[in-house]
Amino acid sequence: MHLIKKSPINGGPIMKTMKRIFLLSSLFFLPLLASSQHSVTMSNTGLEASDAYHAESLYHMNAKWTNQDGESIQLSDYQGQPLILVMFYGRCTGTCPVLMQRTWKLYSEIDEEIRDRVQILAVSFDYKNDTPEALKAYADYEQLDIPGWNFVTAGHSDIRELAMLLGVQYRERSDGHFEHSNLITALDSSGKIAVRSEGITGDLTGTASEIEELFTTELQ
Amino acid sequence: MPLLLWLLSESVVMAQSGAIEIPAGSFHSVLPEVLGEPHRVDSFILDETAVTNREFSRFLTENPQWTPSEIPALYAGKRYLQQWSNEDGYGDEAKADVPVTRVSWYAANAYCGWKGGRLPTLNEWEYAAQLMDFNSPEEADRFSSELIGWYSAVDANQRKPVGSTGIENRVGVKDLFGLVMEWVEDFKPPVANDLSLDCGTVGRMQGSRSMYGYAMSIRYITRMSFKPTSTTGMLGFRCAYDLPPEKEINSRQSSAQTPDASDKKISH
Repeated sequence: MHLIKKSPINGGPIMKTMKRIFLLSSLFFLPLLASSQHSVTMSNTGLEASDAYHAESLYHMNAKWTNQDGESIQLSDYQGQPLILVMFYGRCTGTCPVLMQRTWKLYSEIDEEIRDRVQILAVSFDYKNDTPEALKAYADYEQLDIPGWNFVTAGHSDIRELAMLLGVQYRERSDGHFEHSNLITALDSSGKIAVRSEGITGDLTGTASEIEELFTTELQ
Repeated sequence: MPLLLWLLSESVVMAQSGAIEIPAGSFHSVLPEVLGEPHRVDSFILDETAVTNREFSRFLTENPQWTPSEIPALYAGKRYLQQWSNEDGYGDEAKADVPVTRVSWYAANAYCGWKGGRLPTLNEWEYAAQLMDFNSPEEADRFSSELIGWYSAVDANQRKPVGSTGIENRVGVKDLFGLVMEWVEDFKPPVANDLSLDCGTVGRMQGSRSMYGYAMSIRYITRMSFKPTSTTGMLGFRCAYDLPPEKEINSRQSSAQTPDASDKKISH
């Protein structure tokens, strides 16, 4: 069994909102965990139990990501709420604008009552060029400067680790561009991969309702 | 006698901490970006040898979340470090300088990140592995045929220390073959899903009809069959490092004057 001490959630408006959400949702989340049949060993106190992640939870990843505003984010900051993850790079002129537009389309197809609780983490492969400043400019340019959307970067091996966990394949070409999979992933409120949508074509209604379900499950 | 032993063990430690600059150049990949064209690789730094049990044990001491009892199933299969006699260590001093195996890709990647580096990319590793000098095509073929034999039966319980194969590339990187296979950063490149692992694919992948090309194809195919949580005794790893920025510029300039590495590559 693996225990990780939850790091203190740091400043920034997003983090503060998330902390509120976390505190709220953990009330529902803890009994859910306790009743699940997964290999989570629950300790006696509820407080410690919130530190115990499911064996397959991506919250085990303790990489620190930096968003477009220079704020630090860890995946476990999203504990208790679903999270949509997409990997891209800012200078991409091939499929990435389509992939990001598709992410936006998915977002906009999610029920309006849920949408303002949807969190999106767009992770760049291009750690050399996609600095927080570049990511900020990208979000503005693509009109994706939306609350709940974070464009992030991290160290080389952290980015590769996340890609490996999600099953995103990418390779830097000698011209500095990247060949990569086009994948949108949603984690459930315990950090496990729950929804995967591969490709850049096709209807997203099914994916959107699968993601809505993650929010419903969370509130049961 | 004790002094001699001390000297010997010192030199082994020195060898392990060594990392070697690999000059920029190009090589013929079996998965080229552009069909028939050599693939260019910028200069980078590569560990002289594979990471040993001793080195990996030090990493675990400082990063207990990667020990067998703490590591979540997300990051490694059940046989993670199974060959170690106890939780924290490899036990027997005789195993100290043996390449660490049964490490998942995630653990290898984390180790290299901790060292301030990263895993070498597939192209970097392959390029380093092709910087071999042979006196004649016959010698190259003989080497390649031994290589094919080795790949067909990599010893999952091998106990030889790093540096023991006597195989060294042009710039002194040791044991790229002969001890363990090694993780690379992108062992499943974006094309991997389109390739099935049958003999026909191996045939099509052959960039050339040489024995060396065939050995290389086997290596690519085997690597693609791994999962990032795989913990096999066949697999170890070494780390790579980016050159400091100013040095990168210098080496790029100098590499423009030196002949392309692929020119010196073994003949087919």
